[in-house]
Amino acid sequence: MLIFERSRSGRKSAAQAPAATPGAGEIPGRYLRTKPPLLPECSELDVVRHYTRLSQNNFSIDTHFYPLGSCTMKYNPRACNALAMLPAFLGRHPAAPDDTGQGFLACLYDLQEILKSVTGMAEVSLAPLAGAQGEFTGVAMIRAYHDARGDADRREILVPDAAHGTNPASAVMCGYMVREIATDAQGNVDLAALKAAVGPRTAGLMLTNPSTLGVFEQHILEMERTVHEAGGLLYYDGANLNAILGEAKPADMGFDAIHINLHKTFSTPHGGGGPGAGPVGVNSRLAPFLPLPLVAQRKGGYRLLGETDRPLSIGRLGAQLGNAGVLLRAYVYARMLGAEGMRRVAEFSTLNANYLMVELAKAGFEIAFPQRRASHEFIVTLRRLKEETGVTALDVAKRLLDKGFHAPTVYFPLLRP
Amino acid sequence: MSEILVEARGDPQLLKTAPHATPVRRLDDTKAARLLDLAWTPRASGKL
Repeated sequence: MLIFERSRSGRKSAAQAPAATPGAGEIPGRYLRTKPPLLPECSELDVVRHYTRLSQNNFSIDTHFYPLGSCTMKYNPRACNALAMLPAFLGRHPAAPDDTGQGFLACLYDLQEILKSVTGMAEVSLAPLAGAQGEFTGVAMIRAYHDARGDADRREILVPDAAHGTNPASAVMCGYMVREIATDAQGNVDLAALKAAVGPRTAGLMLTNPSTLGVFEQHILEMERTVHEAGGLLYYDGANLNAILGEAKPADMGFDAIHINLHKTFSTPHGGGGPGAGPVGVNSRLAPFLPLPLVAQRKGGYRLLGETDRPLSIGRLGAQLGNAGVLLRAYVYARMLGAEGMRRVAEFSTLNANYLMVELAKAGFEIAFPQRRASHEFIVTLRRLKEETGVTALDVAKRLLDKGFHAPTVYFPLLRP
Repeated sequence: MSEILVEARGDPQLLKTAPHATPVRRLDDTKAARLLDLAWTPRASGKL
């Protein structure tokens, strides 16, 4: 039932009634409404009970286990949220001069440095406002790089068929044709298919590693050589960064760009529809094209770099510097973990996934790639159960709700039955 | 998950009609996405 449907003429709620706005009497009469606004008329208790009841209809992380996500999962400590909500952070105007926000900028500068350290990249921009925008940014920088070299014939982006749908979508938004690369029986990108696909039209490869199938690409270095030798660049989708956090760096795998989903790997709840943040890291080849603003340390202070500092930048992705609240939560989380804690994230997420995979196999579930060690996640296929009983993955997901668990992502990646 | 696997083999209908213990039962996500109902209008409800 909607709050409007609870409305009864003449009912009022003093607690929710706004106080008269000072100065309202100065508004010219022609701008004043002649009819009262169409608002529900409810008592205070009506309102409290209505919204409390609605909140109880939700399946939430405050009340249940909620392992939703086709990618990295992590814990979101309340402390990160509490510190990001400090009044001085909340009260800072996004257009305030750099001089009046040195503490805020220092946190963001440190975050850039931490993400550089974790990925091995030369520079990081915090500007992208979401994971998919981070992908878009990565491909836009690849395009800017080729355009700057006059290499205009490179019109194709290679995307494995196990990728998130946002990968091909981002490539298309940047004006590229997408070429899909098959997956082999081991769950790796089919190396022969990749070698057959690369060529003078290849602008780059978008790769999620570990993949959405939950396995680490076994031929990652050969893939890197194949694409680079063809003149293309490599973009690393950091959706599954938990599995390698602090243990392996995409830059060491030869990748030119990466985006990191802070809402997946560094605090901030994931799966709630936002807000998110998708910072990008690049090697020195792509650094001139990074989106603005960047946070720089100059003469003992911090300031935002703009177009005059970085004339080759692909530009700005929003009115301000990223999603500040998400960036601050990530900064606190990273500082709480430290370098040792980051490695622990990778070790525990991998250990937990493999433990669960073995337990489910023992219980009788069919594992999609039983011969492979899981990274941070794994795929269970219910094809056989459906053939035997008619029960589908959706039915199992719904039954899990009765047991107090939200189901993990179902029917993804699409290439699995 | 082990319990659910046993239920699937012994009483598949229990799973086909799940969930049973939630405030809201199985929703038609596809219909909700295709037929958006986002705004309330007084004419539709006859109230206010």
